[in-house]
Amino acid sequence: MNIKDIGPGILAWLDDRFGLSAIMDFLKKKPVPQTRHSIWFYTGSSILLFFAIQVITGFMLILYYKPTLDEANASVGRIMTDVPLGWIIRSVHSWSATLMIAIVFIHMISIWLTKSYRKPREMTWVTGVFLLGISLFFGFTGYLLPWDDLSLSATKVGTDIPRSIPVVGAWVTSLLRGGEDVTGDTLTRFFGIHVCILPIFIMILLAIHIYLIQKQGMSVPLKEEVEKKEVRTIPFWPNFIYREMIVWLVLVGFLFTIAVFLPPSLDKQADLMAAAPEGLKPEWYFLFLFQTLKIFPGKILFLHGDTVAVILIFLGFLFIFFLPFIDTKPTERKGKIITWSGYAFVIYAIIFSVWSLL
Amino acid sequence: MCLFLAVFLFTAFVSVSAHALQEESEQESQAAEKEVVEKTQAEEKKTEQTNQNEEEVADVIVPSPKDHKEAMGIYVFLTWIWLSIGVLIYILRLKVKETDRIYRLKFFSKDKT
Repeated sequence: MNIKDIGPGILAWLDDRFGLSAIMDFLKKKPVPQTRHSIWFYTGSSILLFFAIQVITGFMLILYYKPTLDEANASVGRIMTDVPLGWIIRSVHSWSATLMIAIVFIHMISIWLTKSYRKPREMTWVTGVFLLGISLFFGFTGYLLPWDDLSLSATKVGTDIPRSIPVVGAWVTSLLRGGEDVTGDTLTRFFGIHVCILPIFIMILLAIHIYLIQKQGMSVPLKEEVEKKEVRTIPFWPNFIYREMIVWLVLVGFLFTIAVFLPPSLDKQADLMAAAPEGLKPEWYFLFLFQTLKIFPGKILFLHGDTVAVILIFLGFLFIFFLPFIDTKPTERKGKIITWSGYAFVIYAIIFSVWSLL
Repeated sequence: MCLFLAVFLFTAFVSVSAHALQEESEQESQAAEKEVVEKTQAEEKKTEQTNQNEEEVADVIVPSPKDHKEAMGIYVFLTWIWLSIGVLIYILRLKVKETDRIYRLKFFSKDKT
């Protein structure tokens, strides 16, 4: 079937100029393995869905938001009280960010446990880890923008963590804050990073990530690959897309429902001179790291406890980043240990997050 | 002399009693006054605290529909969304079955054996 048969007029005009038929032919031929692990394939497109929702709602919010010390909090207040349905737009933006990061974690863990990063998909994993980092940085920079007491204190704590890194720590903190302390300059800087710098990086990395997925295809589970079993496949277009659409619809419904019933509130304007509020907590996806930093003593031998914790977290990050290059023999003992380390990471993250909330 | 002493004692008793009564009534009135002042102060404090709490509550913006009309509109919209999702999922399930059947039959494949 040619794409010109789907819709005359505009589609045919576009096809003549952009060669859409070639893309459709490619997608019709692209096989998607159907195994018991196929459910994880839906996480990738769900991340894209929430990202698209954030871009759209972000454009709406940026029309009213003012990234200055005096007006940031008030402008968010106006969005929530004066702008028609502004509170829902903000709530959808906030909840889609939360859900996107949650699904990014699930996506990453599923790839870790099914070892989908193995040859020749190493670079897909590497770009994915960068995308995870950018998503977390999106959340971190976006958290300050309402400029209330909690966001200011959380940013003070968050931007102070890099200070523990040997040699470059103080410079990184100063670079993030735009000075020694969190001030109006930090707010402007975070806004710029949130709406300009990070979107550019995420678009470039997403393009590379999606290109690699299309080029390498979707991975077959390790067991089937080793036993050289024939795996049932379906075409990406339209069979798999229809299935994905069902998942998207459910997720959109869920997002709108929680956005209406659980909208985020806005605290009073941040006071730069005020003490940090009690029970200060970062966003849920930083809780396990926050708790890890908290349990370290002030001094370990001749090093600061924070420095040791930051170094350990950095080593953990390096392990995750280079996972496909470390897990070179996935079917052997080393591969199994790495799979179990994935389960251990999940348990550690859950326990430490819950511990932090207690 | 005795009479004089009796009158003196009586006068002294009366004056002491009167003084005591006066002191007592003064104390009573002072206590009442104090009570009133304390009550007023407590009320003032309470009002001040309530105002402060109200100010704090006003500082925190809890988002919600502006009026009954907007609330109604949102619930109608949510209901419409879920109904549409239900209908679309039903249609998509049919499409999935149909496309899978066509694929199994190798309808569009060059090799139909």
